[in-house]
Amino acid sequence: MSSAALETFLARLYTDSAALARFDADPAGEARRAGLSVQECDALVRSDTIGLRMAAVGFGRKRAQHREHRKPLHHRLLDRLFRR
Amino acid sequence: MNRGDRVGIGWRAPLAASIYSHLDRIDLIELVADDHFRASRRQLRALRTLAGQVPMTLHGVTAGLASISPPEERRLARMARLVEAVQPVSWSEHLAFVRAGGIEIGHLAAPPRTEAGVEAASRNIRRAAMIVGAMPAMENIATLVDPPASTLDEARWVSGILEESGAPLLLDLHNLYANAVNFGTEPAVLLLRMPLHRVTTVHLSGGHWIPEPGSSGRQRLLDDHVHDVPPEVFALLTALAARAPQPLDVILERDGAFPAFPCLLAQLDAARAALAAGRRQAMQLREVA
Amino acid sequence: MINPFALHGPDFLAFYIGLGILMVALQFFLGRAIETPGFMPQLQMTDPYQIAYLRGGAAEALRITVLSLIDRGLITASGRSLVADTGAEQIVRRPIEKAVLRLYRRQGKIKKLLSDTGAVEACREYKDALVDFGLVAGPQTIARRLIPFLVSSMVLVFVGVLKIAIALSEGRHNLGFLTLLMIVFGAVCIWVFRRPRTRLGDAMMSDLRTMFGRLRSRADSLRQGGATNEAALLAAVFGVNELSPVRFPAIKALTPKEKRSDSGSSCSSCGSSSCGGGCGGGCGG
Repeated sequence: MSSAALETFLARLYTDSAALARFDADPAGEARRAGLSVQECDALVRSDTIGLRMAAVGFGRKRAQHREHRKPLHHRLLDRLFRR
Repeated sequence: MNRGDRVGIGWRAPLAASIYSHLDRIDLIELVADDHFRASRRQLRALRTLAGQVPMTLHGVTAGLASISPPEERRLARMARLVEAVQPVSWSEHLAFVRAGGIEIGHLAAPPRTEAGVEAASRNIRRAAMIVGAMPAMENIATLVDPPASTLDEARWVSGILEESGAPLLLDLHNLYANAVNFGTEPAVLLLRMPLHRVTTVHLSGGHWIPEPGSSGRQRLLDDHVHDVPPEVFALLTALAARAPQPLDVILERDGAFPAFPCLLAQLDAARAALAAGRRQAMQLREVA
Repeated sequence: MINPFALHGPDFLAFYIGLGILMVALQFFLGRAIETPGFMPQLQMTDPYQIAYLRGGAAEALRITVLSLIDRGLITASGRSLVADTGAEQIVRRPIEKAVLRLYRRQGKIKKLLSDTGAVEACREYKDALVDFGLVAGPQTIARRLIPFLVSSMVLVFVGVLKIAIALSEGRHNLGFLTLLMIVFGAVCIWVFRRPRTRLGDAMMSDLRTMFGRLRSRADSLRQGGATNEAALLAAVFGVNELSPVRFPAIKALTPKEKRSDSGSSCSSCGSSSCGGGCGGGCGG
């Protein structure tokens, strides 16, 4: 019961708060609309939704950290020029 | 400790000078490979020089080798370039997926643990080994979510991947501990179910408890790498050393909230003591037998 | 093709300057190509005193030794004066540290150390090791550099002297600038010939600066009397001027008249990260 579609669905839940909210409200419907198999839909309905939410929050924080550390190009150029 | 056991630390910029000044107490260092994928020739040469001062291992974080989909070859090519330039003693990656369908998750996520997943991960690992020129040690990750649609438990999934791919295991004991306590398993039991004969490298780190959303009052342990290694993890290290006779490379991971360096050195010494205790236990068991 | 010796005044001077730059560049690059092998051998370069010697010779090695001893409370600095604590010599084991502490049994300034032959001699083990490693120019390196030096300097001398002879034979005596240029280029050729570090030594120094580039940004947080060797390492790689005079008041005693030392060229380090370093804080979430 692994598929690229399932991983994509999970990745969307981890990165899109609106998608996660829709999944919380209607897990079976959202899974079906994502084109997942019947077994995958059933598994998602029974899944650890609390953990999903916690993981999504954690991943969101990590992405924010990455963005913070990735300065704009002109900042990096200035850093190099003035050895900051 | 076995004569072959080594204890080291993750190389982090804020710790660089302290690590360099205490190489007499550090047997090896681990570099996060992805931080250096775009390194210039001068920076690569500096890494090579560093690798000449102390054994170095490279640790990748973005290949996503446990995904059902094949990894991006350009990432593996970058790893290959880095390995070629730096000549580390080994390299490693995670049993995780980090992207799918063009979406970047931003960190290591646990994929569904299934037979199809085992096959795909093994294929990806063998492909990575071919491109990079050496087999990576694969690390078990911590997860706050019990991976949906799983048909295998963590130990069987990890064992299956490693057996089929031939990869060694980088056993992160705090990740193991966190997964055990979060999902209702005894950590020592989970440890014994892992393929301990395949362990070449061990990670030690710390974490903290975070509340579950809602009003359940329950908590889950987050592996955050900014806390000291708890005694329970050192106990797991002792148990591992008692059952895995092969030499072990033990690496302390600390990514932030850095204490004074002597505190980190003390944790390395605690790791050595835990290893030694495990080796003694193993010897006593052999004598009794 | 124009005969350069037919040029006069500023035209010939311009030609001579161009020739001088070309000859010095040839001497430099040819010398580097033949002086040492192209690969960096596996070397242990973790001793701050040795690193300091590589960067600036005995003077820097001694300066960093004093810094380390101050940091460890074995030398007291007050203003520009230094004095060793009683009994400090019994605590240390390294010859360079013993030599420094012996010298400062009685109060003195840093100049006293830098001009003391005993202290400089105590640095010999570092020089010898660096020569053996091929990082600092020893007799073999000097021998390899000799031919490029002789070729460049002789070309410059020959052209200059010939032009002077021609000018004098034509009754021209405005040779001051040409003479000055000959002296300047001669001095540059000698400097290139005698420069202390080899190509490998320059590469090693560059690598150390790359590795510890980020440490410079933390220099302000390093305090005197800290429990680690970071201050000594930072100063060894980049010079004592990198330390904060507020957090490290003792550097006043170490840099009486020193200009800013040879700084690193990189602001990156082996630990720089676009993702915050490490696995990103935890292996999974």
